[in-house]
Amino acid sequence: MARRPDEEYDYLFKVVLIGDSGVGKSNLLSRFTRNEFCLESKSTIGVEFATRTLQVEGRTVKAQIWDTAGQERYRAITSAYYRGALGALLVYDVTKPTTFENVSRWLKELRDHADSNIVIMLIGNKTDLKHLRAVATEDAHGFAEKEGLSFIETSALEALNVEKAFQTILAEIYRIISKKSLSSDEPAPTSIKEGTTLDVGGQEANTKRPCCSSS
Amino acid sequence: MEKKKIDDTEQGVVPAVRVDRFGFVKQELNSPDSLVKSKSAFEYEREERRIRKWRKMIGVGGSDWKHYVRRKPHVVKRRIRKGIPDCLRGLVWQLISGSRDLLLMNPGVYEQLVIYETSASELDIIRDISRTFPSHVFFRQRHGPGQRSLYNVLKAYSVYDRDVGYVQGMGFLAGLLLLYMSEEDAFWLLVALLKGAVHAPMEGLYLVGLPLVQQYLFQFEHLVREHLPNVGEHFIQEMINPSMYASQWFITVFSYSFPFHLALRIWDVFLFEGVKIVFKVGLALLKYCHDDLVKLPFEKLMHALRNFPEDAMDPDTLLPLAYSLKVSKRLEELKQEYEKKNGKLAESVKQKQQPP
Repeated sequence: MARRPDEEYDYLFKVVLIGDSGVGKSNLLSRFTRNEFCLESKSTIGVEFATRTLQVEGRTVKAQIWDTAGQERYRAITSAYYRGALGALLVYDVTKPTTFENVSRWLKELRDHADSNIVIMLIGNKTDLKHLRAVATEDAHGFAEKEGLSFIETSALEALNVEKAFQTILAEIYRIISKKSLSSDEPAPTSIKEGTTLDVGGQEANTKRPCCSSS
Repeated sequence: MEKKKIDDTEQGVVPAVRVDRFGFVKQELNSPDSLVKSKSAFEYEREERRIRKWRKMIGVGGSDWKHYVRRKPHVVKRRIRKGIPDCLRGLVWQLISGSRDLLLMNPGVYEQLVIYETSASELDIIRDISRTFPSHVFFRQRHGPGQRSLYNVLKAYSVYDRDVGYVQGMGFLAGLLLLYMSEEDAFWLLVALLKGAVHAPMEGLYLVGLPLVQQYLFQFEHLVREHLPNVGEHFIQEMINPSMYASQWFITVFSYSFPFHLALRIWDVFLFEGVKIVFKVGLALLKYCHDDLVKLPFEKLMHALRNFPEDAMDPDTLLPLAYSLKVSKRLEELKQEYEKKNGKLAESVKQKQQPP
């Protein structure tokens, strides 16, 4: 696949949105990519997809985000999308303790199916529902620290911290990749620009890339 | 059963919003529905004739249906493919699927399931209730009759079939059925689809590991390459695979995001002929949009495959194209091929389902 002239970007980063059903993954995505929030959104069946190109550390980065159905039954389909992802946004709902308790299970999912050094960010969403909060910020913060994840609380409804969450994970991915490319003879951007991180569903095309793949 | 009409001037329940003839809140003025509404007198007459024919075919309360299907299956198939009259749809769906018989054979069972049983999936179901057809007047009211019926049907099913329980996507099936029949009828039709009566067009679809969805996606990918080699080749190059766009088609039989009038026509055929029609409609969509699709790069393809143009989704264009595609033989061969390849996998899924 050759790079197309109309797509001007330095890096293409694939990121997956995971977490229990109903925590607000799809609305985080629509807030980030289209600045929209839909109160009447349907539950996600299978996978959805959106992109946004933005500046990260002075570089033009295209974030290619895969939004997955949260229900356990769907992991048979959605786990294929972890492969080749450079980042994962693991979302829970600050008003629903079970969605936070399940975070460890999601981490295991990632360990089983994603590349080993995928950048993971824990997101506590729905902070606008202040009176219903049931997961303390400190608890989540402590957990994230213990697991070595970055952590942020967001409200997709109020557009609070959503931009920051994506910026942070993309910057973190960028730092890892630019560090890697220093120690590699082949410059990183070239291979990433080719769009080979789209590896999903059986094709083994990019698992051996020297720079952007984290295997 | 009389023709359902949504009349804005009817006393009492005048909705504050504009809805289309199926009860969905109107997004824009030039929705496909406005095309449907401007029926000519000739078309009305034709519709009336069609309804008379159908009434004769099914008999009073459906009493002649089985006899007619046995005697003239081809006539039935042809008429269904032209679309079941909307005023008879609910009844005919129950006849086609055999759910009527299930209902008659199991008196009181539904009530028992709704009132006395508890389900491990209750919270999962509740969480999705307001996210099922949120733009439909019947379902949008919190704790309203639509949402309550939806909850009851899904809960009852999750108890009735504990191997499957509740899976996201089932709500769209149940929701679609509830717009045409009572809760209890919708429940038994769901049972007919997933457990079988006349046939079981969705059996195994929602089991752990979604084994059937995976098989369908495998089959569909091959059919695309065979029927539309240019599209197939282009998809390979752009690394598009059917799980990115077609899982919803199979999991909800087009009821998740397709125009409702099209979904209904597909369901008519689906209930009589089975899952084959999902493959055919999918292929027909790609075929209709062939010239555009082969030109698009990855991201634009992802968009196009979720936003087909209005003219492509006109049932009277799309369905004849779908009917013209022959897939049965290849579907069977590809199924065997898939089983050969994944035999062990399917077995392991089965074993996992066994209680320890």
